[in-house]
Amino acid sequence: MGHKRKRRRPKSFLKRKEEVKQYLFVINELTAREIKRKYARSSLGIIWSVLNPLLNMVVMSLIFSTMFKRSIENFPIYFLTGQIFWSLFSGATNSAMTALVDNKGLLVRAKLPKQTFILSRIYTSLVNFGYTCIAYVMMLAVFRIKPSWTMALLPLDILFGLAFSMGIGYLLAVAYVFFADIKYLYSVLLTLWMYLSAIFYPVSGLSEGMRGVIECNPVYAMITFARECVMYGQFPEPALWLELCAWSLGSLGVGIIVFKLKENQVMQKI
Amino acid sequence: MRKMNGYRKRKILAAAMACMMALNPLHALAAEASVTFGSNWYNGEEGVAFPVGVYISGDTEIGEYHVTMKYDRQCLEYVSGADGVDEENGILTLTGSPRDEGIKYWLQFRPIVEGEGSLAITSADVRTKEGEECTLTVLGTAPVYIGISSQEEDGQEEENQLPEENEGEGQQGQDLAGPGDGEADAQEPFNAGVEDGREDGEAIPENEAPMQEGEVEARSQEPLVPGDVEAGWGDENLAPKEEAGQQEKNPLQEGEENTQAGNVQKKPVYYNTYLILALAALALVVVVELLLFGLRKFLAKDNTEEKALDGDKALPVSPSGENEDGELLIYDLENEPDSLLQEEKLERELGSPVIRVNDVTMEFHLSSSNPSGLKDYFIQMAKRQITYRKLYALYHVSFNVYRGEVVGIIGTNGSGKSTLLKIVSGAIKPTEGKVEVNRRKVQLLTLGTGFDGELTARENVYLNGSIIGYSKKFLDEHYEDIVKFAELQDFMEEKVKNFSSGMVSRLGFAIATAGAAAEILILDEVLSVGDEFFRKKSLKRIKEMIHGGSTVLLVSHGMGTILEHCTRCVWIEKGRLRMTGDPKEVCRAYQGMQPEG
Repeated sequence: MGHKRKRRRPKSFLKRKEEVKQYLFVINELTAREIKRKYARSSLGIIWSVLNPLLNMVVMSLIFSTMFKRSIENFPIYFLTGQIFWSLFSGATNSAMTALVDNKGLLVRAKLPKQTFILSRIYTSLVNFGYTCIAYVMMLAVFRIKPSWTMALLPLDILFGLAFSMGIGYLLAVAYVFFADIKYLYSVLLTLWMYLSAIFYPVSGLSEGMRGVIECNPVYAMITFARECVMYGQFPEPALWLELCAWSLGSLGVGIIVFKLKENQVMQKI
Repeated sequence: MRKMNGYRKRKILAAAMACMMALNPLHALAAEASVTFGSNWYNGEEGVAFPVGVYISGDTEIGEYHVTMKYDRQCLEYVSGADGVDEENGILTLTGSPRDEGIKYWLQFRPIVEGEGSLAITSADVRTKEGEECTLTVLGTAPVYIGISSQEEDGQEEENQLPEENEGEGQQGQDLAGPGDGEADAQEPFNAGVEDGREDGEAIPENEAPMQEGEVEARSQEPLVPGDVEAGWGDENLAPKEEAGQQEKNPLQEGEENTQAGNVQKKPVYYNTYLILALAALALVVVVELLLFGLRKFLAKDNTEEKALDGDKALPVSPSGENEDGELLIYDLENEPDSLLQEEKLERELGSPVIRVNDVTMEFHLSSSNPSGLKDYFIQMAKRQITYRKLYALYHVSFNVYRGEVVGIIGTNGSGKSTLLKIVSGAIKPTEGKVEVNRRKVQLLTLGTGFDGELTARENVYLNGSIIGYSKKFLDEHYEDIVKFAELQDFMEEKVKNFSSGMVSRLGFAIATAGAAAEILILDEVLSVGDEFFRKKSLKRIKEMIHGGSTVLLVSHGMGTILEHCTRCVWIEKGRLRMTGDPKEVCRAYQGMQPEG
């Protein structure tokens, strides 16, 4: 209610600026909490944020450069590029899903829009992604991938990915409040989704139909975009840009609308 | 620390690389080279050109090479790709001096007649950069099966194949021209793709599996033995097919040759069927869950009225039927003339109210049966036994709170006090009615909520402070005050999970009352915790705040607290407003009720 009244009143620029500042402060604090919590009990603490993905990547590149060696040019990088984007998406959506329920106590007291909590989870996965990227860059160096200007497009791809994940995250978070089973269903769905994202195999090896399915997959589009930029140094096709734009904006739009509609019910339920 | 990490990391990587080298036998031995075909066999269709990849690869950089290969002139027509051709004898020569470790040739053949033909590397002379002759480990051979183009598949096949031809050639040029590309390709020759995907130009790599490690002979004789087939596959996505045994060979053929018997098509169909089945199963689960969810909702609506609790039925429905116009802003106190008079008097004395609780009704739906499992759930659903009852947490409650008041709210457990506070603080919206309050000024303080046990007290102060609406600057400035007030100076770097409940509530209270921001303070059972000294201190703080113009809404079960501090009291019982007024009177009435209830 207070919220509504607030909107009607025209606000001075200064006040709005302050509000945004406060908003960012909250997100910052929430994110700091998530990250501190993650490795709270380990002795190396935050260093694990880089070390963990790095060790994983080393193991994975070992596996993919020996066991499944003869499949794709630069297979380890092909795989890792897919893998980091996949984990960005799955991590973001998975954590966003429980954002509302986990923060019950804070939700009741929060004066900011409830989206803050979901946003902070998404931001957390972005930060984690940043750490992973440190490891990723090391791997790029090890496998002697030549830097090209197209790599500068990567942040855009990440942005698309985040927007898409955020939309899905909104939907999941709302659904999870009413319907806790969604957690398990979603994990199954994620498994299927992962295999349909062509992370560790080339799409060209598939049948026409399957390839059609995979090419509809927004996560696959995201990964392809990244591979084009990083591995092949190519400017992604306009169609890919369009596809990513459409997916991320569409998902974000639907997510926000659903969240707005269900916000009150969510609060009642919690 | 991180630097060291990077160093360590590099070391690990170095070790990893060493491992890889060791695992790859080719690297360990002296100059060796092999000339192989991309695939173990080829399927072709009459009149439709198909690509054949030839790989010359060595474990060191290859200097010069000269390779001759033979193809069946009877059934194959050479199209393009080789360096030299002797069409009369069916001999192609590949020669040159590349700069890479591996060389890839992309040859095009067109089948002429149906039947079986063969491709074979007849001789090869490969030298390293230094001119040293390489030992040749493998000279590839590959049979070619040619079928007549079948009617139905023809169109599709042709479509697929024609662009491929062009692209294939384009790619070839690229491969030969661009050392960067070609190198990697040749180093890791591609394995046989399984499905029609390989028909596409972009699929070129899949088209050729290198023949390797002595399996070649076996293969060329018995190319369709399924057991052999997997060896050529590197893709793990294909792995499930290994189980399929007999059907194995079909996908391999399917891509290029659709003319063989009907069973040729079966395997990929099975493969897709599994996928479709899995998808269908998943979809089914989702649909069932959603149906259950929807049904539950539907039944809830259906049954609430009939099966509502007796107590709820007995609730008086006000004659004016405010149910419909709950959103009315006009204050409706028709059935409580006494309190109306009282409110008027208060309004005259204290100005306009800061909290206006206006005819608020809050409805909850509770399920009255708990099916123990899915089976039970279905049974009960079938019997329409799953019912929901409506619970009125609040039923047409109205009261005002004026500036500077300390209003106590009393009532038995579950009578709706906490719900009321949540509505006032704006966390939830009432089903009906309206609360007018400036939410930005409200501070809700409940016990033990919002603290994260894994974080230190300091981090929690910042986290909670930010959520409550304090800016970073404000928190920096007031941090010392908060710590001092909570008397936790020595514990701020300690994790909150190790705190006692008293310490947590002290911290919570200190944060919530730190700023002048809280013009309206809502306390849910907070004053009854903590030791006596802290209680006194917090009361003092609250009095200061009241003095500074704050308004307090206080929920408590301790009559003492209420009597001591409140200027007015609201009694809520089973969701209904029973009485408002002087704390002494209300408390007396409340205590008088208890023996009966």
